[in-house]
Amino acid sequence: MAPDLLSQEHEVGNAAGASEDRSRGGLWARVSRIERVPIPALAALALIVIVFGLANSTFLTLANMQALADQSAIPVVLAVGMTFVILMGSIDLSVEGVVAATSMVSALLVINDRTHHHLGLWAVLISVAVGAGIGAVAGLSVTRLRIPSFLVTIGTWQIGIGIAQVLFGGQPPVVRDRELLSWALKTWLGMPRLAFVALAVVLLGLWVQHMTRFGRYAYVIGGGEDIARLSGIKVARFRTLAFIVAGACSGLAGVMATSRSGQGAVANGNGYLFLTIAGVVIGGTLLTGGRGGVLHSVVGVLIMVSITNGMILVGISPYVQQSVQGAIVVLAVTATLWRLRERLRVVK
Amino acid sequence: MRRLPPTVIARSRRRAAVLSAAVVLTLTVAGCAGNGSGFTDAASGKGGTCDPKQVHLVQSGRGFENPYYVAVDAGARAFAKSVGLQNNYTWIASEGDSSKQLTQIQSLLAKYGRCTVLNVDPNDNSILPAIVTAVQRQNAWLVTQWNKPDGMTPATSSAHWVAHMSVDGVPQGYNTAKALFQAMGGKGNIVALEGILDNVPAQQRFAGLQKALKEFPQVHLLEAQTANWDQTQAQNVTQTFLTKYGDKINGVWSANDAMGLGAIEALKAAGKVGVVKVSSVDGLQQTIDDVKANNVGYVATTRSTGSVQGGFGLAIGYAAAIGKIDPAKEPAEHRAFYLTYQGIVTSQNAGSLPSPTDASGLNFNNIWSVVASPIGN
Repeated sequence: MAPDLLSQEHEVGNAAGASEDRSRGGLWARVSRIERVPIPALAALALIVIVFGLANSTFLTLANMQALADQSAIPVVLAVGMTFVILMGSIDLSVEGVVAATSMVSALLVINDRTHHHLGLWAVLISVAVGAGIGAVAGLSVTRLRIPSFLVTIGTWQIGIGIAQVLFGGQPPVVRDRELLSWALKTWLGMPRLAFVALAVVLLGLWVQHMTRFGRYAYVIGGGEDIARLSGIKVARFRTLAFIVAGACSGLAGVMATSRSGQGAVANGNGYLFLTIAGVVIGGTLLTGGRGGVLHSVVGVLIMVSITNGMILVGISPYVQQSVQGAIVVLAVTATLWRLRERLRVVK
Repeated sequence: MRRLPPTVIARSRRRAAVLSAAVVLTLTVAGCAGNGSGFTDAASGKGGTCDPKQVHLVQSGRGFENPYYVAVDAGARAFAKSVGLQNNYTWIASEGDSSKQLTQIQSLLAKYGRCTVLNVDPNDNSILPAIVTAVQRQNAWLVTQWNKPDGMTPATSSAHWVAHMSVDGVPQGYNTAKALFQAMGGKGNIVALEGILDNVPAQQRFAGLQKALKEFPQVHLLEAQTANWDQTQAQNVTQTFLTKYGDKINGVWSANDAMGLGAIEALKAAGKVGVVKVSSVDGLQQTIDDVKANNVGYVATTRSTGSVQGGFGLAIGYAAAIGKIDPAKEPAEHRAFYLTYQGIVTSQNAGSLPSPTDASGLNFNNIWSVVASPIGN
């Protein structure tokens, strides 16, 4: 494990990418070992794009790209936050709960038909803070109370849903704030504004991953917490921070969901947990931690969203779509993790 | 993974209800002690002999994050008030968890005994036999909504399972589709958003759409996809339909309001709101507001059935508990039936209809007034 960790650190630290001492195997084997860029996931995405593009000419039109960008924006933001948690070997199952809570919070704080607040941009910041707060509860429970993240975040998921339901009170608040609504309804350069929000989050995530101690230590902690601890890294502090980052991302996603649906609703978070985790894993970020990255997760989410979109365009019967989607996910994961399978075979 | 967790509202209400219920229990025990001879009647399958003032009413559904259950609760409360039992009413939220629902029902039965009237929306079919057994054991009274396993009916299983009521989705899907087609000028192309495909109301509503399509040969169904009753999924599917078919789409038929609202959001983003007409089923307040405003192309929804199901469900169970009716002697169509069709909401009548949570118009004098047609096995 140790040499692995070292070489991986080497790559993360070096902009050069694949190192020369890895020349064993063919070109694909070498290329697929580059960990900075999610080559296998990108290959899977390219394959999906080609297949759907050939099967239906609308898939590659500008209009459909807009639709894909719009549908990917929220899960991409969620996946960026989730990436840091999973890189450290933890998991955050609370996304749907946090999105539900912050969707309600943001809807009630901007101009709406239930309350008289009109905090505008402050509502966004408060929602992100609420998300970060729920993330902090999870992070501190994991690091200070030593409860597995799997259990803690089921708890914070319920807390989020509970907050949302109290605020819901039987009737969804409909947003009347034109500024917030324009995020989902207006475009820049032909692309929905929500997609630019997601892009900004991705760039910020990449910067954090590569340029900050938090981002680089995430790999070390996920690769081997004991080694990280022996090296003097304050593991607990960084792990807590990862949950706060994930919570903040979910908080922002909650605001985006409010903007997109035009209302605050408990159901606004539905379906995002599977999409986010599947995206992160398909992208090549290991659930055991230490490998992957923000870019990987983004590509993974794009794969998931493209499959759903492409199947409707191609006209696959809704009765078999679920199975087709499952089969494609299995194939994509196999392609993405092929390299590891090879590695395991060698090791055994 | 369907509908989730602890509604804090429901929980705190439940706690309040449990406290008040504890008081009522003492009264009930005192009350029952007076006419002890009545106990055996209930067991033999005849109508109940409960003191009308000692009956405890229980309404069980998923949770208040779904406005439908807010309407159910409103109807149930209206009935409780009409018989002076507003302090003997408990709402319990299953939060989509079948085993939780069963546990809640068993606890309340243990507490209130044979004079409990339950109006239950079972979380799924498979849990119903266990609920019926629990009710029968206590000789209490049960009415069920929406879901029951095929081949199991009140008439053939137990006198204490007084009745089962559901809503026929065919006229709902049919009439909203007709309103949609008329708004489109009787011709053009539509896409359809279906509910969860193996769900009976989803199938019935879609059958209603197909029936309407036969009557409008100039209206074509381009494609039908499921969005699993979910607003976000419906928004994505509609967005994809819009890129696939572009300007060919003149209307969106949706099997429920949440998906219809998702379609509206997708149309807004595509700049086609008002141009493409939308119809759906359920009667959520938000949809009614859109239909009334008549500015986003939302043509029609159905009237909410929630308050009728909540109010009349309890009313029928209550009638059995106090011996006003003997379930075993009621005709089959009173034991398992579809509700009378409640009509649709269009821009013409949206302003004059009561809100879905306004149950003041319900008249409980004739409990069978809501029966439309029997449900077969």
